[in-house]
Amino acid sequence: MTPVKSILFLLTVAACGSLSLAQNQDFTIDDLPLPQGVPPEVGALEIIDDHLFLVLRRGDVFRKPLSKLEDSDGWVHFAEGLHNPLGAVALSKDKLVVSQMAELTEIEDLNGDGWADQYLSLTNEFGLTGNYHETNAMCSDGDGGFFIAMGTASHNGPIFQRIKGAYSPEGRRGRNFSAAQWNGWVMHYTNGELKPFASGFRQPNGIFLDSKNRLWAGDNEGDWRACSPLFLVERGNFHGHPASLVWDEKHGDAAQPTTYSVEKVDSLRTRPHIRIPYKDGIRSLAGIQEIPETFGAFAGQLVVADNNARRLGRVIPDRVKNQWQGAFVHLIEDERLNSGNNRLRFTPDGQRLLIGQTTRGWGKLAEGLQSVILSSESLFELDTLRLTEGGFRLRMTNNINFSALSGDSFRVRSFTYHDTWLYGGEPEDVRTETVASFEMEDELTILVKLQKLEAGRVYHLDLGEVFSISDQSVGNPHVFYTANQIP
Amino acid sequence: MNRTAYCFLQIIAVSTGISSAQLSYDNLPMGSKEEPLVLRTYVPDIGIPSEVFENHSEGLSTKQYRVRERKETDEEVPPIAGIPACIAVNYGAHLSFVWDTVECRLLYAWKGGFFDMSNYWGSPEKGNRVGFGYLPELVGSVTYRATGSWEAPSDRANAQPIFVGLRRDGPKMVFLWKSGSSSFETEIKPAEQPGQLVMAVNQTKPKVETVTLLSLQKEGWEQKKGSQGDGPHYLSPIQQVEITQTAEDPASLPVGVERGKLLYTRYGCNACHTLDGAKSHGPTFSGLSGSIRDFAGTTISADANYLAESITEPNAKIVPGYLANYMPKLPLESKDIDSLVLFIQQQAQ
Repeated sequence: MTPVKSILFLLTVAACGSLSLAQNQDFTIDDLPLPQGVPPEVGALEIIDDHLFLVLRRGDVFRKPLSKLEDSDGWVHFAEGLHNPLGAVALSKDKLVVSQMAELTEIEDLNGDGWADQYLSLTNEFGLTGNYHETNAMCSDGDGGFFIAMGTASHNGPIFQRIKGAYSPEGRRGRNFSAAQWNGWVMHYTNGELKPFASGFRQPNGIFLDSKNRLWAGDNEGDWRACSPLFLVERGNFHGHPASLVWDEKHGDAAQPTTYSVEKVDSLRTRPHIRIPYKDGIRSLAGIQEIPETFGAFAGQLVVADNNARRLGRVIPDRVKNQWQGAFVHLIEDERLNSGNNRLRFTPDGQRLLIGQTTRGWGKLAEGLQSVILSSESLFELDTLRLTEGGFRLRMTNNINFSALSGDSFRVRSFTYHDTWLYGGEPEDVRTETVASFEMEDELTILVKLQKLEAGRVYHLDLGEVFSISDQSVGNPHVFYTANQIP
Repeated sequence: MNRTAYCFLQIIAVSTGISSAQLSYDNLPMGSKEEPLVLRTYVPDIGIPSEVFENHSEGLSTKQYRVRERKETDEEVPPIAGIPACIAVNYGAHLSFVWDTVECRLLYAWKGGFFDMSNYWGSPEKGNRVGFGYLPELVGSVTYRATGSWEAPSDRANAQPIFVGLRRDGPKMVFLWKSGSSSFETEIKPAEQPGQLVMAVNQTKPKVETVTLLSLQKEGWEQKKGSQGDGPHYLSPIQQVEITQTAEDPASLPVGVERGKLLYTRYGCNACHTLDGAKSHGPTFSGLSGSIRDFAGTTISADANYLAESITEPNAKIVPGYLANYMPKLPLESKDIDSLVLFIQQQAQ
């Protein structure tokens, strides 16, 4: 055990500016070939039985053996005719379930010739106004069913005269709206029925059930979203975007939920379990996956995609007072990455992370299929983070040069977010925190205590002055911890 | 009907894309008679009577929403003439049709082409490749358009039809659906005559030995009962439908605010630049013209030159807080740029 050292110091912290991108040599990044001539708009990826399904947003689905991942040939045109598909779960090499604009569809190649013959609608009992923003992400429920995360519509686009499903004039009001039934909800398809599961979403372009049976859904900055929130979704909860409440019998049209005050929404909602800053974290939160044991680090944590920047994020869940919350840090920011990171899948050996990319519709084109491999054996990153009484317990991936730690080594600030009907938001009530002490628990682990730790704030820890015993700096030093609860 | 009576109202183009049904950047996707192309997309409502949409809800006009004030204005935002959940099928220039998964019936058929998807897919030349016109435009001439409430088969229950799926069998499309406790299969394949198709509706549960054969007459559906094996019935076209291209071409307008306004929506500027001061991915146009732009110490007045440069060279000057390399360069001619500048200047008033 390293002797305990204790230092009291006060720091001023410059705001974390835009980070210049370079190449992170800890990772190997490869561009992977797509079928020749296709617009590389990857709506979804899925892997089963050593085959990769590639789902493109104009509606084509291709499949190839993973052994041919780097070959330009080997793609089989598996299916066509899907409307902006953004979710996929494979049931076998010949059967794929896809969420498209109007439907959850089970596609099957019945005769084994590689070309799908049958497109069964598992459910289409949700509305569609014709607006471009009502896209659907999906994941397995682990028990033969599926969760579908349904986007709201945007006032930047029109609706149609002919609406699929029930229409709500009250739900039509607002910046992002829920004029068609179940827009803004996470739905559960189980035993042949589609049931409402949780409400209050804006554009949940990523939903994932992890190995601990936790259901995560991200959302995108916008109205009622001051940053990019990540939620642990539980049945019956409302997640803060009020448009969807027109379809909740406890509210409905008559209650005019789109006019609810911020205070009323606050009283009803489940707050984000992880708040991810927009500029310094994730601009557009998309696909979510769990990092497998064999990736090389961070097993059991989540990797999340930024659909609008050359980076992937990492989420370290933490449990305080029986509530999940946790930390966000980048997994990789790298000039070699495209910026339209949308869907993620690990190869079965767990060592390679595939990224399907698209930005058609907004933003600069930054599309395709890439992969990330952790190739370093001497990674120096934040490994885990726990909130402790009065501070944080940080475990690094490599031994820390404790003697190099000085008064500047831990720069901490904290702030809050205020979610309102306005689009996005900046950190508010920003405070520079005073580090009261730090001590070494072992070669990998530091305990940092703050003079004051307060629930309901996001803590930004800058580890830019923490070094390994071989003098490496932290690859991704900016850590954001959402302290909804404190011990 | 005499085939010579057809009037080809509009034949825009035939796809020059790759022959495979695999979609490409070609905004005129086409299948062939042997290998049809199935495309699920938003489709235009070509003037189909309301009674056809008995299982749809009606989208209503709403008031323009001022996002910053959280208030509505008096300006009406009407719904547009689209249908959200159809399956479109193309057999090359020979035949296209649209089958609706909400009404579970054929909505329209045409020949001479399929869809021009530019409005929805955007064009590769447009930088961010996005269209804001939403609805694809029909290519070709319409040979059939649904009218009247669905009357056949008569034993279709009064319950709302529910789409079950699509089975593909070569050129034949089999649409599976149910209504109440009954299940049906609607088979459609191209007829020999261009623009015509063969359709039969079979009740599969409870199984009946008769096939409902549909024939289209001027006054609506005429229903016949036949035996299995009678073969399907040919649908006759009853009317030609004039398709009007409603989208106005900005190039047809003189330099001015109106042309700029049209370009503002046509190029999707509205996705990132609001007109009401609200925050978005790019600076709002409200009050932009003539304002002082602060570039970390250096200030510039947003005059016409600055606005024009920001349109033609989006990365030349990036106001702190916005992203470089975000706005695409657009294929604009000088009249377009002048018009956009005038439109932006108007937003300062």
